[in-house]
Amino acid sequence: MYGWCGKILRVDLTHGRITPEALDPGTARDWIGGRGFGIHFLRKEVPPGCDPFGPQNKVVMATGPLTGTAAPTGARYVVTTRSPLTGAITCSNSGGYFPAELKKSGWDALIVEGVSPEPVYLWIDGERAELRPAAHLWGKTTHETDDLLRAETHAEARTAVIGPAGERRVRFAAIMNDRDRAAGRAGVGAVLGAKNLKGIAVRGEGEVALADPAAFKAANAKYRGRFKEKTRDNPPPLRLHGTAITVVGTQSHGVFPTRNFREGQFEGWEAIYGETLSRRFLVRPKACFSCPIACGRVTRVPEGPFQGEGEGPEYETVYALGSNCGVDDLAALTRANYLCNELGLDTISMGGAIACAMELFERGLLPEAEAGMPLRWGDGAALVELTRRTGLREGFGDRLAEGSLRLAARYGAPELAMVAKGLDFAGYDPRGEQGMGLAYATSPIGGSHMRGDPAYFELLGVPVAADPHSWEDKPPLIAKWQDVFCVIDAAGLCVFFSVRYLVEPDLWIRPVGITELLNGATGAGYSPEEVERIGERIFNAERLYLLASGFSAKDDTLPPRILREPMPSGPAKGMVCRLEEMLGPYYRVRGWSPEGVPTRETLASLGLL
Amino acid sequence: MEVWIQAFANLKAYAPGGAGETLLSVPEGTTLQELLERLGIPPTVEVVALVNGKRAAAQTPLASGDRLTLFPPMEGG
Repeated sequence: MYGWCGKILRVDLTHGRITPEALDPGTARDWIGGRGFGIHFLRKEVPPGCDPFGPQNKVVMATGPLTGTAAPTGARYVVTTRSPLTGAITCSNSGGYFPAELKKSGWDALIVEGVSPEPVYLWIDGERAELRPAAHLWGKTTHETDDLLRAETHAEARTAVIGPAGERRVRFAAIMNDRDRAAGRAGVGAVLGAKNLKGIAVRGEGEVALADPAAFKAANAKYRGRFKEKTRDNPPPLRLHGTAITVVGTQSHGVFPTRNFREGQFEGWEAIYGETLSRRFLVRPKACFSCPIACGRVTRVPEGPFQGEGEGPEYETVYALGSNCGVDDLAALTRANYLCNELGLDTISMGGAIACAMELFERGLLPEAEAGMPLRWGDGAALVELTRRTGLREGFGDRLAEGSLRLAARYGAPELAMVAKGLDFAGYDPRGEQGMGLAYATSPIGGSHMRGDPAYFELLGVPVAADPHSWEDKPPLIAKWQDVFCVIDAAGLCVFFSVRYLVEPDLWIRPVGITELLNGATGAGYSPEEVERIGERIFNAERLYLLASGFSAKDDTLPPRILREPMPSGPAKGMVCRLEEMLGPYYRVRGWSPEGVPTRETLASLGLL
Repeated sequence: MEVWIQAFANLKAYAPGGAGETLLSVPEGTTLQELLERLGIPPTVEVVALVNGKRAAAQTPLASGDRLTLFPPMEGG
């Protein structure tokens, strides 16, 4: 096969068996890879009702045909499993260098199953793979583990590991690859912890074979050329200041979540946004494999109580650990970010849980004696200490480790968890960004922005601008964007480049450039329409798995704060999210029943019957 | 009349005050488009322009006291 390696590595932890399997060409063509492979194998092999921490759950770690190629941002892989945070599916996506290395080692995907009786790690050296004891790594941070794994295997190996948070089954623990890149959302790291798998080290020196090298090269040159041309007069803001520059877009539109989504503008925004980060802590920008943007931030807090070095913060972290907790101390939130990376925690859900705890405390629902300290809005030292305690499940951190929804429910106020399907929102308040409300409510993994991100057109002017306050026009747009994001996640690409340069530059983002690159790599001869249908197939398959897991239309909802409490101030003042008005038309556009179930006709047209 | 301007990232180079929000005097009836030209932003440089937190069309006449936010299109967060 071309583009695909044609091989999957099955890792049975219960019996310590590693089995290479051929990738079925039909499966490859129908699901592309990455997120598509994830849901394909999950539906086939993992019972929807099973315990996410139990031996029946599996973890699919899948690259796409463009991962590891010269395609711009061909750096990504997707981790799909049942989520211990939400009880539903999660598919979490990461870049860096590990995914490309995995692909170059000759494997399209890993399927990790069972539970190892003892801690182990997986060492993949090209064609050869083995499980090795990891008792000596248990308890180590992600950075320490990365150092030790590379010392034991190969100095240039790439790693994906869990930290103490994953070992302790913190429900939003991440899998950290290349030290500071995260497959962060909804507890994929906790699932590896439950399986006693500390991590994976991989070394791959092969090259991805291309079906039509000339066509691939031409497509690559064309789209990289488009980037070069555009950026001649428009230096990428993400390279200049990292994703934290996005604060400008959310703050100015009044949708920058502040103090657990009570407000949409943060008075301390200038202290924590990207330009301030550049001025105070930036050491250098950092790019993932084959990426021309370089949005990553290598940073250092040079002095003071929060001194340290590492990577970040990203926009989502600046929101979650910053404005959403009322924290305007950039050093404190950067330090909390470093801790999340080292302990292996999702910064978004960490911030969501702390913000929720702060609101519970401020309302008198959470006694100080239980919290172990006063939890005042804006307390940077508390933020850092709570992050540490959560990663280690120490004291009150043990409660935070259960996630914001379980925390809020425990103190009698589940409505204070700012979640959809149990997953904490990203940094966009849907009251002033209507499409985002629909995206959160219908995302197959819960409150994620990365399953069809309308912030691009609602706030950031990419590829073109649309009105963030309108709702009537959003249902078909959100469906379209969700499908194209499935394609991006299946191909092995990064959204940041793809939505601007690999799609038709209008609101309907037809994946023309992605199709050209996929065809050059795989020789599959896809039409853009076929690729779009695959995106729709992936999204519907995830929906079916969600429904089979016990979710229904009643779960396509948002907290009462978003639906009924008008935004108190700013450009979105007086607005609530008009989700009810959007859901019916959205189900119709999707070919789903009024109960949110894909109809037989829809499933038949997508080959899902 | 006077309007407030704040620009970000590469657009800072065209803002009268550079960093921070700056008050700028412009003739009555100046449109958004005219203001961008007055700031010397070349047509090849892309701008997302908000007036009082809302996207505004190029031909929108500005009013005294309006707050303009200018930033480049961003690839995500």
